Amino acid sequence: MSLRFTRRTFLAGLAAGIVGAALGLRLYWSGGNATREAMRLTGMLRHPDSAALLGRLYLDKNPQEADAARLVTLIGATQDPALPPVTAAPDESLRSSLEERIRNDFIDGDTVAVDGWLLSITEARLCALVSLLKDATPGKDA
Amino acid sequence: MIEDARRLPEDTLIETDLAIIGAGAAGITIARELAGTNISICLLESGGLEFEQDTQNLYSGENDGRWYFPLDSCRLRYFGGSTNHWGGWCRPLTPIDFEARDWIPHSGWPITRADLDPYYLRAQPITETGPFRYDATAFWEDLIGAKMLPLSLGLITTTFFQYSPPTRFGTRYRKDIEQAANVRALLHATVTEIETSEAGAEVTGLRIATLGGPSFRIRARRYILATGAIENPRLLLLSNRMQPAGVGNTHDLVGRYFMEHPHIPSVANLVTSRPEAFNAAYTQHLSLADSIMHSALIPTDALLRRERLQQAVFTVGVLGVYNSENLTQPATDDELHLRDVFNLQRDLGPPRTTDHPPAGYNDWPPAGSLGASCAMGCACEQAPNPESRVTLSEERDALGLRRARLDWRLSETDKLSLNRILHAVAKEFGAQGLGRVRLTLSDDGNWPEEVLGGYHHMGTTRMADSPEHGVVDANCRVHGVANLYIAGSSVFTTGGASNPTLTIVALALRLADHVRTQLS
Repeated sequence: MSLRFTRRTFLAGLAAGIVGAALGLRLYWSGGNATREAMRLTGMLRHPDSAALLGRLYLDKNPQEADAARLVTLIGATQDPALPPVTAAPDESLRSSLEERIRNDFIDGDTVAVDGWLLSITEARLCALVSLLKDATPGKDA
Repeated sequence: MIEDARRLPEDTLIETDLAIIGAGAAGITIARELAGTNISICLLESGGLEFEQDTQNLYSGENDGRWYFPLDSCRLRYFGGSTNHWGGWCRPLTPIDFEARDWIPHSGWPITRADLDPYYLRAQPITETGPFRYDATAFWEDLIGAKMLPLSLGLITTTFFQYSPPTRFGTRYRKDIEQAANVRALLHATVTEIETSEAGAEVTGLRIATLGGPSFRIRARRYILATGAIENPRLLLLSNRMQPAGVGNTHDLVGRYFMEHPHIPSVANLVTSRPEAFNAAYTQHLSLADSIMHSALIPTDALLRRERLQQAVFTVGVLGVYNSENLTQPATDDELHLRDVFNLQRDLGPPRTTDHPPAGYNDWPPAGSLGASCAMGCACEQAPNPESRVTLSEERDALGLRRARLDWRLSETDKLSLNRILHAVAKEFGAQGLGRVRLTLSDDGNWPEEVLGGYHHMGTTRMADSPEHGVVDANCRVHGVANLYIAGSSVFTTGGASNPTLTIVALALRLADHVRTQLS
């Protein structure tokens, strides 16, 4: 599965993540599941410039993950089969699910150094996802 | 009584029960403890009552290993010794610091923390510090009206330093020495040789010189060497007329195992969107009713045992506070991504628990702050290393004595241990949503150039049960020498990560009790 985004789609997606419901921007939820999930996840980050910078640093060291669909899958994956993936969380509890996931990453040692900062692998991948979406240009979106 | 040795007639012989060489924290403590007894004491100080450059120059020496401070800048050679520039940080060694840890070669004191606890208790008022409650979290929480960090992974925990005013022993206790009928303090009296019997089994006297003045001798029943962890081995090595290797050096241990507490002022960055969780005690000295306190972070014993690590202690210093005003300005710290990580943490981390600090001692965080950027400093334990050592230089001082040469060496395991504890700090903070940590040390065993000592000289006449493993025994008596004792941090078997002065005073009290029994 591959995903392609335009910068316009991404920026609107970020806005949708923050105030999407209020504004009724349901247009952006009409794409594929992975597209919608990427929008939903990155919408948790209210400072996309900061996230994108960190995400770029992460991707520089982990180029094999420079694929939005793969990142969505990795973020959604759960180490404990008894637990639902974080991406299964409804909108209203997505943030708390991510918070719990990040906490467990630190407990389990699922961390990564990004320019020296010890980050949870989940938050690093979220940043990478933001970076990918932000880098997407209309020219790339054939 | 305090007098100037330069006024003594040449070749005077002074006879006394106890000769104490060095009037610093250890020497003055022992003299005070025995003041008023029927034990006659001669307390010898190389300097005067104030700083004098020509005397201070006697401390000059060579640095032959990794970079270290000029030796004459580390210690003060006048009445009160280095307490005259002491910073006042107090904290006892922890119980695990005394243990033989099989992952740290040469570790294991012949005494335990419990053996020293009664003396730590007595050391508190001498250092003018508060209650002996260094690890009593609830006690300090009640006192300041704020909780310590919620650390639940069992990796790191909060500990507490107390601050001496600091006590300048030479000033604070000068009157006690002056008024003690059984104590004779001689200023400007530099011991140049510890004389021994031919077999080296007993000290028979001390040769003493003054700069530009008379030389004289002291004969005592017991002798205590208390001149610091560089000068103690220096004098033992210099005293080689009967024993070519020096006094107490049958097993070539004198001067070896020199330890410091490697300090890195900014070993990690920390950004937090929950500044309220770090109560004021983490970021500043708190002046309480009868103590001055500061919180710090240490690895738990469980982590040290499980990961086979060495001690370390971390403090937090605030670099800046984020608020709604400065967050709209362009970032000035782009190269470190401080603000980017801060933004990430506040986007995904737990919400703040309170908006305002509780009343009382806390004025942290400032009103309106959204977070903070901090630097973490560390002091860590250096494992005993026989190649890290003090020897004699070929250069000579104004009295014709060979100067000290220091070869300070740190090991790869010292550094790797510190790095793993830093990772534990970062994990704990991340898991608790307290912040994110940027680790600045490389993952290898190479120490960065910016590592400094803490002016904490330790280990060069280490304590051990057997003469094959140490210079002094559990009573601080030099192995194989019937009447010579050593006081001060040179007897530390391992150094933990606590500043040494409180332990120096506790050990001095213990030695005073022992010598009192011996001489009574």
